[in-house]
Amino acid sequence: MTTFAQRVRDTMRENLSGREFTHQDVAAHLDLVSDEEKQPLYAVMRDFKKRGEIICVRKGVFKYAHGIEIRPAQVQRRMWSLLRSMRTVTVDDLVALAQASEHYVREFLQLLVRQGIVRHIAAPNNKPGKWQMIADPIKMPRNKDKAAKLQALRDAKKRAMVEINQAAQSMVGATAALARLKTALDNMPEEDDE
Amino acid sequence: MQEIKPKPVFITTTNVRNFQVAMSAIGLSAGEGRLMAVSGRAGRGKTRTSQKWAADNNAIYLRMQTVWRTSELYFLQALCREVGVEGNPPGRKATAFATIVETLLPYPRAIILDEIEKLPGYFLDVVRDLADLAATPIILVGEDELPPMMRRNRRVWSRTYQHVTFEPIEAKDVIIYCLETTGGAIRLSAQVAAIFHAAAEGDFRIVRRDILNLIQMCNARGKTDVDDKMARIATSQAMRK
Repeated sequence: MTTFAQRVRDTMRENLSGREFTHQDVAAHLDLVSDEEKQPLYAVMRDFKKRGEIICVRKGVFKYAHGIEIRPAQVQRRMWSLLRSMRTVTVDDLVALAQASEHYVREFLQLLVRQGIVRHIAAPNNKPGKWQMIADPIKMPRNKDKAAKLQALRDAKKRAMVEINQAAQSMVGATAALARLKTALDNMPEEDDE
Repeated sequence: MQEIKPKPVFITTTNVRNFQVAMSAIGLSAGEGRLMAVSGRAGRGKTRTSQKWAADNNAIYLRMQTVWRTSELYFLQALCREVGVEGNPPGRKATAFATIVETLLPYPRAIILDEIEKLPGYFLDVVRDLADLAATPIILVGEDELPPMMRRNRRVWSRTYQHVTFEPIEAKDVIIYCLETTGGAIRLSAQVAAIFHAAAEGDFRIVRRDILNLIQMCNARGKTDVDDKMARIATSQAMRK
């Protein structure tokens, strides 16, 4: 099953590649008419812009930046590979070589600092600092914080679904009881006036 | 004039294009152990290009260490770790070698070995055997000493499918780099680009430093028209070899 984000990506690559486009151009290709239908599109394109998959040429106008499909995991793998081969990097190095956004690079490096894999070396006079690898586990470490958050979210969703199902069953029971009550009331003989 | 903030860019120079074409050609021989040589003087982008290619293509990149010269075992152990052998790498050369081959055969990945010219010539025989038995392409990256080192070993040179020489950067690379890093704000004329090109003596690192100086000057003066005088000041500020 194709996700919505993938459909947006496919639309940009197949129909809008090599030219400038707006949100409305993408919406037209995906047959999204109302504002409500377009909301997920705005969110997806915001993500793409953050990741560097689309670039903002001017306000409200974009261009597709990549000729190949980029997935966050792919970008992360590239950053990891470059960090391991270069050992000391700057944010700019990874932005240029891994084709990642500055925000994503910083997030990735800070994750590695928290895991004791990288340390930040500040530079004087407002110059950009460097990030040095101090431990090499070879395999790219997983984002445990994100994994824990996702797991908590999934557990909460599961609990909510159980409660919704229970409430639905209670409603079915209550509806049946009300129907029986109505039938009983309908079948009760009329009271004598005398 | 809005302040120009240099954008980090990796430009596709002629050297990078030649490298990419050679890598595509070597990819056509998938399933065969081919060697490729990439050579050139320092500062021409060989290492950075190889590292980027390895990252983009899930290849293995390993920089050879001078301290390995006493035994191939250290090199083989480092390569064991890179190919993903779990736990401590084997303590014997033959076992380490066999483990690498065993790991690579079902899932071949290109291997890039940087600065192998630092090590004795017999390391090339180990590399040749690896390429043959693991049926994987191995790319050797090094300075000008690398091609003669490989040519001296007939068996190695006969398996060398491609040889890419990283030439000095061209003036047009300077124009493109300036354009891309400034987001189109500074366009160098051919005459001005020639000044940066001459000052760099083929070394891209010097071009990068000089362009950064130029950007600072443009920001300070509030203009993006660059003349010969500005170019000479920008190139004289940076440290030279």
